[in-house]
Amino acid sequence: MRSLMLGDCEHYASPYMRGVSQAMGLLGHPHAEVSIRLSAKDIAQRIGMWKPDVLWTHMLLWSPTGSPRVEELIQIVSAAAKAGARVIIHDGDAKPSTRYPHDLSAWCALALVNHEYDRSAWRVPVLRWPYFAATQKEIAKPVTSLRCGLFFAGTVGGGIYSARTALLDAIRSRGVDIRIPEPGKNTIDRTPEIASSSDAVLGFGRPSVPGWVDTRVFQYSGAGGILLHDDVQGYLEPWTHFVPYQSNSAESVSEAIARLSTLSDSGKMSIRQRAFAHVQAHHSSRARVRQVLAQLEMA
Amino acid sequence: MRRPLRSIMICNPAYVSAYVLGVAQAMAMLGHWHREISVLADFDRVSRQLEEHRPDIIWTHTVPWVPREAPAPGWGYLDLLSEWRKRGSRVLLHDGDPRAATRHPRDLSAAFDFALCNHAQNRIDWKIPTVRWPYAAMVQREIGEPVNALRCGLLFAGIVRKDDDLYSPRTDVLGLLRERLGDRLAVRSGVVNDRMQAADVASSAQAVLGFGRPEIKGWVDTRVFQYPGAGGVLLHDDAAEFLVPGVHFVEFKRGSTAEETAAGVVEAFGRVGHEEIEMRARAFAHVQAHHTWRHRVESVLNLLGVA
Repeated sequence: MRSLMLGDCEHYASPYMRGVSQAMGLLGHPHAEVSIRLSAKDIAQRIGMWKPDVLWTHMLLWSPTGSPRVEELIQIVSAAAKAGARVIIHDGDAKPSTRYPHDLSAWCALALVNHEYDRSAWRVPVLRWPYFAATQKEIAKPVTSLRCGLFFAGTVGGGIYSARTALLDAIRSRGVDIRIPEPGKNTIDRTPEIASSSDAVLGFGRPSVPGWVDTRVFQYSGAGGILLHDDVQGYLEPWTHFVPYQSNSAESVSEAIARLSTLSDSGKMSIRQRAFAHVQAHHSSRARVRQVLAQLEMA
Repeated sequence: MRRPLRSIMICNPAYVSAYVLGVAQAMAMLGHWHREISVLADFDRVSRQLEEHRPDIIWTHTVPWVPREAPAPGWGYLDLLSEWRKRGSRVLLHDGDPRAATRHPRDLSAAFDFALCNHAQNRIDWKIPTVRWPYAAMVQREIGEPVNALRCGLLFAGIVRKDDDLYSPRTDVLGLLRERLGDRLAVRSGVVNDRMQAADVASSAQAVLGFGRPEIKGWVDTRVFQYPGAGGVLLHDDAAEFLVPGVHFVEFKRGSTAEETAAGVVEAFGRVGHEEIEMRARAFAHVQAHHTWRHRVESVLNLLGVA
């Protein structure tokens, strides 16, 4: 099967694009990426050259600055659909209303969404499709330079990030050793070593958003990290696969870290190993992509 | 406890290279994290993507002889690759070029660990170890179903041009075959590269034609692996040590003139049909067992000591 991803691949280290690329390869299908910031002519040329059976898209309907207009992009993917490609859109967007409330049924075979908001305006099949872990054979060896108490990778600042920024400040003020990469330094490709080298990795849910699952729930647990999280949406078992804390409570995070520190090394390693095995078995990139291919009857 | 290798291919995405496709397929199948970075992207995007990915291995294609449209010059890439070698990445150069002399006769030892060559030509100027590394077939589990729209007699897919020493001899032969075989000869050339359709093309064409370059020491045509590895019947004059004539492919004799070579091809094409189905199955099994991109990539990982 020929598979192509049209997305912001040169500017945005998206776990969705990384995971699809990895999984399609693991499943033996040739896969490539095309930058959505190329000219419409170049995008059409690359798609024409590749002749995809499945065309995954990223940010197609809310395209980044520098890419062709959405109408042009839709024209291109419509032509690909007419030539036989099954076109997929991805909506990891935790917004109650879509930014593109139009009928997509003429060209889109499937919408993958990381939430349970209504997307009936699209008039296409919608699959709830949370993020996933990159497929890994074993837990990586820890790296001395990455060792830390608590690791957090993500945006901090105002707006939707203000609550977690305040919480991070409060956790730090309690003396917890938190490592946060510099802004703009994406660490997704170093997940295996970060997960194994940190005593724990912190994540935040959005319990107010129906069905939304933080990518870290799978990303770090699936790499053998000990995840501290407030909302895993039932995908992991507390103290079996992850360490729970109460939302917006620095005190709860401190207590969770304190309780974790009382575990023996083998007790901590058991959490890592159980999380790794569970996520790799059920929530890896390969498992998610297989689900999509089955839905499209292309498996 | 080993993490997946992080692997990058710096390449020209406007060109569907067998090597680029094959490495991507093989690295993914081996469980490693592989990405492509466009040599046509702005140089700061290239640097930034390398910084994000922190590759253990950097494969290169069309580097340091970057395409004209590339914003950064070849020497810019050499500097960048030298820097990544100092940081521990292993950097590989690929030379599939059927030319006696390299286009870049300079010391490349700061930027590259090895050169993977589809030939046994002298590349001493580079001052790096070279490994003979022929092309390969994409991994396929089974032979594809024939596609009606692609059904044809004898197919040739590739560059056809009269103004270049590399391609004009075969173009002359194809011109003569056009006269002798009429519409039983199909030539797929021009702007559309059909490499992505090899699985369909191989099973749909009665036979696929390829030409060797015996004058280039050690050079092997990509079609030697590409089509038999997809279950196609290959007509070829030089499969080197990789395929057995009459078992895995139909051999034609190259003549001293275009007329003689064309006559050889017509004669060989006449032999296709006997044992055709068995030959497809034998060729497919043999190439998939020994000459896929997975085998080639595993050999490189062994060489680098990271398998």
